[in-house]
Amino acid sequence: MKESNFYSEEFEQLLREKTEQYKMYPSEKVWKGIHSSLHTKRKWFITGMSLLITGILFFAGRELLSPSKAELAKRSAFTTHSLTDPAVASDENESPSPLVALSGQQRNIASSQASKRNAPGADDRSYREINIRVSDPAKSQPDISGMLSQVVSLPAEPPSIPLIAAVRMPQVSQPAGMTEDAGSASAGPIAQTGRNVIAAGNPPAAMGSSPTTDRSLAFISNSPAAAENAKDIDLPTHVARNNAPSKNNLAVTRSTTHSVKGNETLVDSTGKTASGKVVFTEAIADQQRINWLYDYAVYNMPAAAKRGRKYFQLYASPTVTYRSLSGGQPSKNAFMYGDATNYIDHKPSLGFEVGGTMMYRLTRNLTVTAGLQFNFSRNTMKAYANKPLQPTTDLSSNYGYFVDTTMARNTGTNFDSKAQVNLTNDFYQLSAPIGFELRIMGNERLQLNVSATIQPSYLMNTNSYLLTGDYYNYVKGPGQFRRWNLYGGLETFLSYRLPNGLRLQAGPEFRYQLLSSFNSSYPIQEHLKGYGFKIGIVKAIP
Amino acid sequence: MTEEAILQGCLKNSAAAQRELYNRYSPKMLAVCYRFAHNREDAEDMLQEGFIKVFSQMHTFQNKGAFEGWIRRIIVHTCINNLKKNKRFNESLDIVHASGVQVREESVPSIVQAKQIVECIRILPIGYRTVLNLYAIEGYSHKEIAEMLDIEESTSRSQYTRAKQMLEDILIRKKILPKPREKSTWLFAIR
Repeated sequence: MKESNFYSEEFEQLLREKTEQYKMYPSEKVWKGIHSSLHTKRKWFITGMSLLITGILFFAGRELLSPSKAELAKRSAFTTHSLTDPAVASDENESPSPLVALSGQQRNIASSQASKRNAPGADDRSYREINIRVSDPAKSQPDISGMLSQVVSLPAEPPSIPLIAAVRMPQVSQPAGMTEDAGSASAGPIAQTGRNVIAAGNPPAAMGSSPTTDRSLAFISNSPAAAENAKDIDLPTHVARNNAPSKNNLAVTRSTTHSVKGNETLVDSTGKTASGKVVFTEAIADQQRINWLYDYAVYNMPAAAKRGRKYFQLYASPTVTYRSLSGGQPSKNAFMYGDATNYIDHKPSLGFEVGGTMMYRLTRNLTVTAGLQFNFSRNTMKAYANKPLQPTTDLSSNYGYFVDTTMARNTGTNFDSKAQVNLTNDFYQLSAPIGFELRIMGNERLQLNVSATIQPSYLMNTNSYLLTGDYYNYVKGPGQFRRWNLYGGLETFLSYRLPNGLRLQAGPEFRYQLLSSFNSSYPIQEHLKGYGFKIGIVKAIP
Repeated sequence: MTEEAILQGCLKNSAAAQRELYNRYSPKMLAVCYRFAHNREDAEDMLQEGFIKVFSQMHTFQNKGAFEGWIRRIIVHTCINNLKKNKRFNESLDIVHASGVQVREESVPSIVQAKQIVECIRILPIGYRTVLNLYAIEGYSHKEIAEMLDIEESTSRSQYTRAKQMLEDILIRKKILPKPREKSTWLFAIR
């Protein structure tokens, strides 16, 4: 300031004084920006973690409990290749995965061991003892066996394998891929197990149109090696089967032990005779077992019970309740202005809610809900112990220009450096949530749903504090609290159906108080925000 | 709430204490920002950024001076840093040195409206305005101003001289200051 002379110093003095007098009041968004930048990292962290955990739970649950089609196809291919001749697999699944490669080694094994299994009792043993050869060095045999045991659980006794008595009917044309030559091994093969006989080569009309029959035929026509290995085999049992797709036709007929030689005449289920070359392979028998399981599942298993539309849900949820304060201008404090929430050190505390809900399923994905719920919510404020005073609490006047006050005895002060105490605001409420649930992902077993409710609530009791007009003290004023209120609820949850028909539900929820906790005469508005993790169980009502 | 309690609360990241501090000082600090900024929105952005720095660097305050002065320095530096990001501001500082500017000898009236003066300051070109704010109002020396703005000290002096001249003209034109008496009339009277 050396360069300033007397007059310029006077000029600068004037500028300094006048600019010091000038004040501008920033808009509220400035403080919100500051506050959010200083205090919202934890909120983002909690929100992000909640979303992450929910997502992980959903996808992990979906893959473990209800695998995707790709996973199912992989398991199915594995099972098929392990139990049956690979020729069938190569017809159905052309995937070049290591699991398919496994079947390449099984092909010759099945053929070469066919004669060994003709001994009594060999069939049962081969049914229960499945040999697995793995071409992928990354997968050890015990691992594959373990996986297989999880995928397929075989009964102790092998099922009665139906016999396909394949009779070539000269009047009916053969499907493509099958030759008419009776002397060829691929023209009219018949597969045989230890006790059962399967005769192939009959026309599609006689075999029916079920996929199981098609698979067998395809295998037979593509397996000349197997046909050559299965000549002149004794047949302990002849079972004729009509492959028409009906439950009754699945029944099989056993006959006495009979020996079938090549080019020998066979008897079908209708008692008619036909001639044809019979080829028996162990692999075809395995394929027929799978066919039998398929038919049994389709025609003999009881149908799933029809689900009702009405459900009842019981739930409970631990919650944490935040609150936001707005409005109110302290009438006795020149330094304070703006929302009261900025002057109060409050933090959420643990609460809970329990309730029951009646649910009515409108469509496959949409359900309407109505219920009753009890809420206990709490939040804590930091305050300082103080000598009892009689501060006043501002009340809004009906005329708008005059501030009423009410007097109350205080128990704590908002600002001080004395002993710190924690004041708790407790709310006991009864709510009637009404809303809907919408399934957004998943299947009947595992679902991801969203739900929204509107919740008329009644305040049964409260043990809460009001802020005085100068924002300095807390007082109790139960008369200032609104008895009837309205909440909005949002939640997303995973729903899993247990084997006994019950459903388990779990997921995060958010509940917001739409109207202020206080009456309109109290100038400060308080809105509670509850975050919780809801766990429920749902039962269908017959 | 005493200033000491506010400081302690801010050090504990107490929202109430931070709000109290903000309410006490934000009106003055926004006026500071407003004198540097193009408009009110820019001023509020500067204020917000400045207060975030204040709260996050609260632990560096050592009670050696006035707390308001410490906040003010942070706010002013924030404003300068914001201005330096603006290319037009940097170009406006590169002007020739001023010379031969007369200084009137009349004293200025003491009763003028603060807002009028602030608005007149804001009429100045941004380079002039910045140097005038820093030197005449915030009390920085030309050496400090030169360091802050990355300019020569002489440039700061000349900018200030021109700024003051221009501001006086504006104040006179707006009739906030009276017109100066004619120099010839003054000399004639001496004779």
